[in-house]
Order: sequence, then C-alpha cells, then structure tokens
Amino acid sequence: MSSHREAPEISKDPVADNTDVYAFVSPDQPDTVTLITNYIPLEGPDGGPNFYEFGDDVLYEIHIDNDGDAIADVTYQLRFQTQMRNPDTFLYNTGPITALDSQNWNRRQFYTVTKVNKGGHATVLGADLASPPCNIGSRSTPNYAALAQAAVHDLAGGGKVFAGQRDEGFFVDLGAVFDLLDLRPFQNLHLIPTPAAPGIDATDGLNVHTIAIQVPISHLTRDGSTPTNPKDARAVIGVWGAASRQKIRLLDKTQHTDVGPWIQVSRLGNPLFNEVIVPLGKKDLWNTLSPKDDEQFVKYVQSPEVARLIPALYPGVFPNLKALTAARADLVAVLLTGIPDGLIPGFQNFTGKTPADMLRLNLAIPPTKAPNNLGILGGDLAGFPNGRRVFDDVVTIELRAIAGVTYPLVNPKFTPDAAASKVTDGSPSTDPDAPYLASFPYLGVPNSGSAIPAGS
Amino acid sequence: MVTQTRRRFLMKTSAIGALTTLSGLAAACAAQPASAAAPLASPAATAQPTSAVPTTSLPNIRSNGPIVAYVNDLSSGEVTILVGTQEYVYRDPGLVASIVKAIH
Repeated sequence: MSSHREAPEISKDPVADNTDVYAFVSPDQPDTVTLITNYIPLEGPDGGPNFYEFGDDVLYEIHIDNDGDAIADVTYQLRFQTQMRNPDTFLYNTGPITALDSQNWNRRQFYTVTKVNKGGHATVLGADLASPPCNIGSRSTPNYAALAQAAVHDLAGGGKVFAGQRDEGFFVDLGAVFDLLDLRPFQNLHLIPTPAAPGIDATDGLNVHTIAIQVPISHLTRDGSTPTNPKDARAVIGVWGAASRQKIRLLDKTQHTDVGPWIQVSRLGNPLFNEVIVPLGKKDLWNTLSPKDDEQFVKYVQSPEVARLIPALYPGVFPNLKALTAARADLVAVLLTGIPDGLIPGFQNFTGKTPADMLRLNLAIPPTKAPNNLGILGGDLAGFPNGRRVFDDVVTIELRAIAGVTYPLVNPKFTPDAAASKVTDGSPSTDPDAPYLASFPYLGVPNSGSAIPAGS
Repeated sequence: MVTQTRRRFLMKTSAIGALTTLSGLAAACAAQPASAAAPLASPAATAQPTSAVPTTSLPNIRSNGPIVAYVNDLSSGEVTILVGTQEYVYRDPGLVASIVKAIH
C-alpha cells in the first residue's frame, strides 16, 4: 500500500510506521496549507481492550524543505505522553466518554507540538494537548464526531493541530495488487487469467492514527511570503514525514527506558516510493535515510521494476512500454526533482537537481472547486503529484505514470499504449460509511468498533 | 572544566554494558596502550535523528536517567556512551580491555 508495512523492519513496529503523507492548500482556508502524516496501518476498529494509540517513545516529525536542498528548513515535532486514571481495571473506559476530560476515560494521551527551524531553534507551539479516544462504539463514544472535533487545538502563532484516530482515507485493492499485480480492466489478459471482477477497497472499515497540522502558507515559505505566481521557485515546498526511536531500550520487569539519540526508523514522501520502487534489500536502509541521500535510489526510479513487470504479466497489452528501455526521466521528475516549468502549462513543482523523495507542493496553485482525484493526470493541477489531497487516487495515478502516460512529457515522440491510460487497481474511491470531511482534519470520522466488526 | 578520567567516568556512570564480540581484543590491546585514553566524539543533536560526531572532550554528564555504555568494535578501542538523547564516542582501549576482562 502507500507505505503500510512497506519494509521488513518497520512492519513490526506499527506505531512508528508512517503509512501516508498528505500536503495540500486547504480548500476551505486557501491561505493555509494542511500537512498530514498517518501511522498505525490497518487498525481494526474493534481492536480492544487496549485500543490503538501513538507511541510515547516515538518522535514524530513532519519536515518541510523550502529551498530545494532536500534538507528540512521547518520541522514540526510531536511527542506523546499517556496517562492512566485507574490501573485496577482492564477497561479502556468505565462508562461513556462524552468529553475529553471525562472521568470515564481511563487511558488518555496528551502531546506537545514543537516547531524547529533549520538552525535548530525550537519553539513549543502547544503542550498538554489532548488526543481524542478511539471510536470504541455507540455506548462508549456515543457522539464521536463532536468529541473528536473538540480535539482540534489552536497552535501558538497561528494554525491548528489534530492528533488521533481517523478513517483510513487511502484506498487500494490490496489483495489484487499483491497477487502478482492483478490489475483492471485486464484481469483476463494476465499470464494467469481470472474473470473480470470489480475492485475492492481493502482498507474500507479500517482506521489509522493521524497527525494533521494546518498553518498559514507564510509559515513554510523561505521568505515568509504567500506565493501567488506558480512559476516562482519560492512557491514550491518539499514535504516528508519521519518517525524515530531512541538508540537503546532497557527492558525491566515493570517498565522500559529509552536512551540515546533519535534514530529514524520510518519516513515517507511520495506514496508507494519505498513500497514498490525501492527493492526489498534496501527498504530498511531507505527508512533510515533523509531525502538528501536519495541519489543512490535514482536508478530504481529510472528503471522501475513495475514497468518491467506490467508488460511481462500482460503479454501483448503494453508493447510500447515493453520497448521503452530509456531511463524514465518522467518518473525522476515526478518523484525526485519535481516537474520543471514548461512541461505542463501553468505548472511546475521543480525543487532543483537534487534527487530526493519529497511530496512537492506548489503553494501558488489554488484549490480546485471541482477536484479530479486523478490529479494532474486528470487535468487538476491542485492534485497529486502537486502535493497530495486525501482523496487523490495515487495508486491509479502512479500505475498509469509507470505504464508510460507521463513519458511523453520528456519524449513527445513516445506513444503510450492505449491500455496505459486505463490501468487501475479498481478500488472504489468513495467510502459512504466514512466520507472525507470538507474541513480540518479532512480525513473521515473513524469507524466505530461496535458498528464494523473486523473481518466483515 | 573537570578533567575526565577513566576512573571518574566509571564512578559517574550508573550502567555499563559491553555489546560486542571478543574477536579483535588482542589486536586492540596491542595497538593501543591503556594510557592512550582520549575522547573522540561529540553529542548528537537533541531530537534530531543523527549519529555521533567527533569531539575533544566528554562533558560533565548530569542525568537522572540511565547512562549506557557499549563497545561496538573491540579493535577500535572506542566506548559509545548514551545519556538522555546524547551520544558520545570515547576512545579508551584500556577501558575496553577492562570490560572484556570483567566478563571473563
């Protein structure tokens, strides 16, 4: 999936597993930008009695590069602290939780938000901020939407933050994709053909833990401006998320203690980068590195394994892709440098020649009133790969890009296969049970544990 | 500034561990006399995922939490010291030899 359990080591450490990163100009507050990083993949809503929570021992970070060197100029750090009211019960809650200070809520989390600039100067923007409880069920969390919304906190200096459970907004037919790349609408043309079948949203009914920050655009640009000219280099930022743990853990009978410097164990910029671009033997390494170190991964973008697999698994369907042996400069632009000015009318998100996996957002592109979830491939310049909105169909976008639809950007003589603009995993892009929100934090209300039993 | 000695360091620390293999010990002891103790590395930046870099001296360490020291490579004669979110690499082949001797 986007980055759920995408590498061997981090798949064993869910609370530090960065699953998705989103960055977009806020549609209802267009002078602000919203940054979201998600953790804890595939949360079953009924996963009690110890329901999901952030790691007190994890350093969560959202990094922003605003000058193209792939080094963070602004970083938001979150640290969590768990409090337990009553250690003599096994219950997460001893009655309905109707407020964030409810005496019935037995295990609560609070967090601190700190902004760190490139020079290392740290400013605490909020402390002792409450996370909402998980959506336990109709008896325990009877008015969950309002309860969670109360956990949206203002930040010192402007902006707001939310950290807590949300509906999993990412959608993909997980079972099909990893079953030897079972893609629509060509299932019958696969080397091992199967009858046509509709796609399944494998994350439907599951939750995730979200860190969402919304700040004025001027807080992130290199000169403190709010850009209006998309061609202006100052309008583009690079965004990635990261999670770190301290170097040593001392295990004792009653508690554990962590000591030593923070060691990065997870990062994420573009969706699916570590998942399907980086080979298995280097995924764990990739998670420990910073975007500035990504030169060594350029070759995997220039010749992605998926681009070789598609024509091999679907014989005769992608002949032009099969014949395309040149380095994929289009994918390097989309994923590692940004798209230079002049390739797409009215758009660029180029950050320079330093190859780095960052989600690049041109802040001067205003939100689209009628968004297309295929983003730039669908003619919507406000969507992926110009940042990423919560509803963007990044699986289809990246599949089509890898299949060749973006290669004419760098070689107009290339004709993509007809199938390239049709290929998709086929998962439904809407979730009627947990629709996206029109306002912060944008990801839907999490699924209730009592309403959607796991495995249904 | 208080002069850092191996004995003072040992007295200040509350925990010492040796996570290493024994291979290379002889070479380490032969190459570096015990009196060659010299600090090598500086603290890593707080709350920044990074690794230790060279320093000229160990600071006056104050911590209510544990202090952990480990030897990663006997032949280097280096002891890595962790306190809070800081990391130091302190070169002291004699200390390394003493740690190994203690576990024999």
